Amino acid sequence: MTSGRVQRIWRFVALPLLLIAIWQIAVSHYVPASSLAPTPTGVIRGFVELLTSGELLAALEQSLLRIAFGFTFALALAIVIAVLVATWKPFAYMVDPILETFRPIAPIAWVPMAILWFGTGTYAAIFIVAYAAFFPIYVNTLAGVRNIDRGLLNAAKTLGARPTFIARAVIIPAALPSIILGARLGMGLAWAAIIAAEMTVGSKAGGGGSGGIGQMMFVFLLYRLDLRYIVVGMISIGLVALLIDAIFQLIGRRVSPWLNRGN
Amino acid sequence: MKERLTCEGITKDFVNPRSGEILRALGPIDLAISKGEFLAIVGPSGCGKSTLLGIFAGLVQPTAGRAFIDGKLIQSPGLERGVCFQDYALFPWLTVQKNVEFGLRARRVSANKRYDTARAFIARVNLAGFEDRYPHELSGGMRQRCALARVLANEPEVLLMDEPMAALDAQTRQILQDDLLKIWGDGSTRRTVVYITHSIDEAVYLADRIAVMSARPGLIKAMINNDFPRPRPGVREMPEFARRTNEIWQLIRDDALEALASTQK
Repeated sequence: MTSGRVQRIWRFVALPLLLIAIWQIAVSHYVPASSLAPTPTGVIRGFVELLTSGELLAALEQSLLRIAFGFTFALALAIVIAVLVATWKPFAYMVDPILETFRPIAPIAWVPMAILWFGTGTYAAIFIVAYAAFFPIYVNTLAGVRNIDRGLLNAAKTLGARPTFIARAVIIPAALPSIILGARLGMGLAWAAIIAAEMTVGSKAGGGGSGGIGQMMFVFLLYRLDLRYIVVGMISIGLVALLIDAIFQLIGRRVSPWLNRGN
Repeated sequence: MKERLTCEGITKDFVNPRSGEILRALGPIDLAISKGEFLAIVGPSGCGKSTLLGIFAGLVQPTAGRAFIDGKLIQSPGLERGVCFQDYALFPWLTVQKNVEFGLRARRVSANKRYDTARAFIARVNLAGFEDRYPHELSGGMRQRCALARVLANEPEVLLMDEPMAALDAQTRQILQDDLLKIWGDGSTRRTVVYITHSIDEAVYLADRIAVMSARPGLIKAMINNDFPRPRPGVREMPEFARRTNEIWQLIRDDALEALASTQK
């Protein structure tokens, strides 16, 4: 391992380690022992317990699948609607105000509706996740399509491209950096909504891992009052989301080579 | 000679969004361009020469009047009319090869044929070896070569060029001018070229005829028959070249100075 690499890893972990140290000292010295406040060592033990029992991985797998379905659905729908809104005025007048009205409504507000429409279970959870992920992708794609250089569209037209080919071969690639930015934000909101989403899964999973990570955290809070496991859930979500975001950033650099000349 | 591009009574008006006042930017313009002819259009900035080219390209609708290609009304872009833009308008996410293939892909030419055709035209504009580069990795001159290859790959009969060399340095421009004349062809295979430029020198070096435009509204002030013998390698040293350049400058000087003053106001 080169020294530059060691330095980079050190820079990556230094701040989290410092925060964990402060957390440990604060809880063990300044918080009464009777409180429920978890310590880092307690969280690590909880982490090991949940990992060895298989609960954590099973829950993450469940949630990941729900997010994958919900996110993919949101991505496809948001791109199609944004391209239509940006290029077809009558459609924009009809659809854009409706979407802007729904945008400020929090995903958790849809939990009762989702259960009503889809019943308790995975479909309702996928709906909530898709709802949460849709708006940032839509808003960013729309901005990206609206900002396309008109010269590129004119060039495509004079080269014999028809509207559907222009949409596929010019508009989407030109807007791709914006789409990926929207996807990164959308993926973040999808994870943020996972607890709300998996409230709909109900207790039929029995509070075990198979209800998903959101359900797991929800159950631990309500029935066991064990904050250690909740922190384990929080950190797990954070780490998985970080990994997914890194993949998106990598894709972003690959598909827009003209935007990162510097690095 | 047969007329390839014509227009009758073309005008273009713009509405000032603040005052609601209607401004005539262009016209009325009547033009007839023969098959195989190289027509240059020179004029001060703001004379509407790019708008006129956009009308021939089918990208801009005139307020009044009509434009024709081979007697057919121009209503939209067409493959027989290739357009080169001043800012090249290359797709930044595509390599040189893929940029040149774009028009062929739009027409669903098979991948093998696309590949070979694009290679051939890239070589034709002296860009061989740069097929896998992205536009941002090329110099301005190379980008314009790529844009030209992309247009040529569609084998248009007419080239509409909107100040294609305005952003290039003087040496690159002279080299590209000679390459363009080679690509233009000779004898009966010559394409028809409409070439917009603000450089009088360039117009006199390249064109068969030069349309001199005035500004506000853009009108054709003079049509000059530019009959220097071809090929023209030494023409810039001829006294007639300087005389003609100066003659055209006299025609547009007042408009050019006025245009300059109005931008400084």
